[in-house]
Amino acid sequence: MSERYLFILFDDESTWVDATPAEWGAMMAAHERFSKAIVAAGAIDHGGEALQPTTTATTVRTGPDPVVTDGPFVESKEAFGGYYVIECDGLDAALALAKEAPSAVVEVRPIMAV
Amino acid sequence: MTDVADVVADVVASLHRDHWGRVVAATVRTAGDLDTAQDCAQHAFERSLVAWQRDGVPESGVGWLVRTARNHALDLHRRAGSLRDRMPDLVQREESRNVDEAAAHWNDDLLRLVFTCCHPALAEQDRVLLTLRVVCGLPTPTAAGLLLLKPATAAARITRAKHKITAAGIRYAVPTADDLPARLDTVLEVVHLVATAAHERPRDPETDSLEESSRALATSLAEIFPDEPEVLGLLGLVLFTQARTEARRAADIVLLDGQDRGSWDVRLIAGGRAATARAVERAVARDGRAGRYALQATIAGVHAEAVSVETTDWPALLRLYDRLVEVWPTPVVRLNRAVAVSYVEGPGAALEALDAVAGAPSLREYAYLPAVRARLLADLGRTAEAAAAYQCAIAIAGDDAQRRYLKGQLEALGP
Repeated sequence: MSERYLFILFDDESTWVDATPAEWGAMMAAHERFSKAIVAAGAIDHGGEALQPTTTATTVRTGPDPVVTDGPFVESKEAFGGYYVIECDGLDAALALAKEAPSAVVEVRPIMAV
Repeated sequence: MTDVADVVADVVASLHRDHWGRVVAATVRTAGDLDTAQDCAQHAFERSLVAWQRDGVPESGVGWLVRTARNHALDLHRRAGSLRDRMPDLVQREESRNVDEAAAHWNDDLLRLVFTCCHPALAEQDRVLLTLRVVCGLPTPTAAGLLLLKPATAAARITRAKHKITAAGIRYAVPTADDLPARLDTVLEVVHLVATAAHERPRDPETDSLEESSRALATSLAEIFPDEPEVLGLLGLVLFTQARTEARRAADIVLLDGQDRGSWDVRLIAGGRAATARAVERAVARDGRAGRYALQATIAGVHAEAVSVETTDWPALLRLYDRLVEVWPTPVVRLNRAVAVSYVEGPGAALEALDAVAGAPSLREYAYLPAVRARLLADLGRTAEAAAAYQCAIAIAGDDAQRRYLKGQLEALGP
């Protein structure tokens, strides 16, 4: 029995927002190499996704009167505690679900179609 | 010959002002995205100038523009070879719709566009920019000027917001019944913000187009939601406010003193009166409680009906402000209520009400606050304090006309 870990990747967004096709290809290749390294180390790759930049993020503060705001979650006293990957018909459907989530704050970030 | 050109140019300008959003909205699905839809609408308006001089103005100008814009979108797709990739049934359905209908025929499309541009997942500033640029068809520099942004900054924000609409999956749709009331509030806020910000700008052609745009949008919304009290209330408020645009200058920084009421626009006042009466009627029929816009419109109406500041029904205004404070307790509303108190209960009681809100951070740069304070202090005979308050108002006044007016008041206090 082994443990499972979530890797949260942080980067300067401009490196992929402004990437040329060549730079993009290099980044994709780097991720492929990393996936292989995971397997080579005897670990299991349960999959990962690239997210759209924070400019596409929407944050929902839940509660009886939920508040929807433009932009990513700015960390204060809440900490990243879990995640769901949801497929639904558009942002409004996603926001309606986010309001129901058992969490104080939900940042809704579209996943990049690669 | 020139006459025909002039007439056509006037017709096209008026269609552009009132119906640009409808033409863009009715073209979005065929075009595939907002940018292309805007380009196609632009193409249609340019074509109309030439075609209508030659062939005459068609019966339904909006229908002609929509058809031309959609055909241009189809041409663009054909040229790009992308028509087959698009859902053919969708394109067909749009094509077969009767394009000779009256402008109101495109209200559903317009509404989808408005709700998309005013989506709560977009920053408030971006909602305003998108609405002005995409729905109202104003040039980016005009939209930027309203928010005191550089045109390049505004253009970048518009691009970013459009990207978010696509990337985050904001659908081009009217919200569900559950979401509608809250989403409609967001739309009304955007229209109100444009109307208010335009009203506070100095008079110039750009201010005129901002006022015309907010008026056209408020009118369209009232046409689409003829029973929504707050939609009607916002229209009433916008019309009453714009009725005194010509008269409004530095004079009204302190109440409506010194305005030439003869120059108020009678036609807009009549429209404001009708919309406000219906807003109140609908609110009473629904739950008996008027919302912020219906109340603000009623307040604006009381001012508009008065012959002078002296003959204004201040006790009625104070009752209305008391109710407005209940549903919309902002510092500005409390400040305006204090002004009403001064006419009903005297300057002492008003000063007390004023000082209760004076510390609000949102009023720190608001010259109206020290200006009102100065007048109340002067009425109480506290001349030295009044002079100090006028100095303070002059220091933060927004423009030269305001400053001139305030300096005049300061000098009138005497040595």
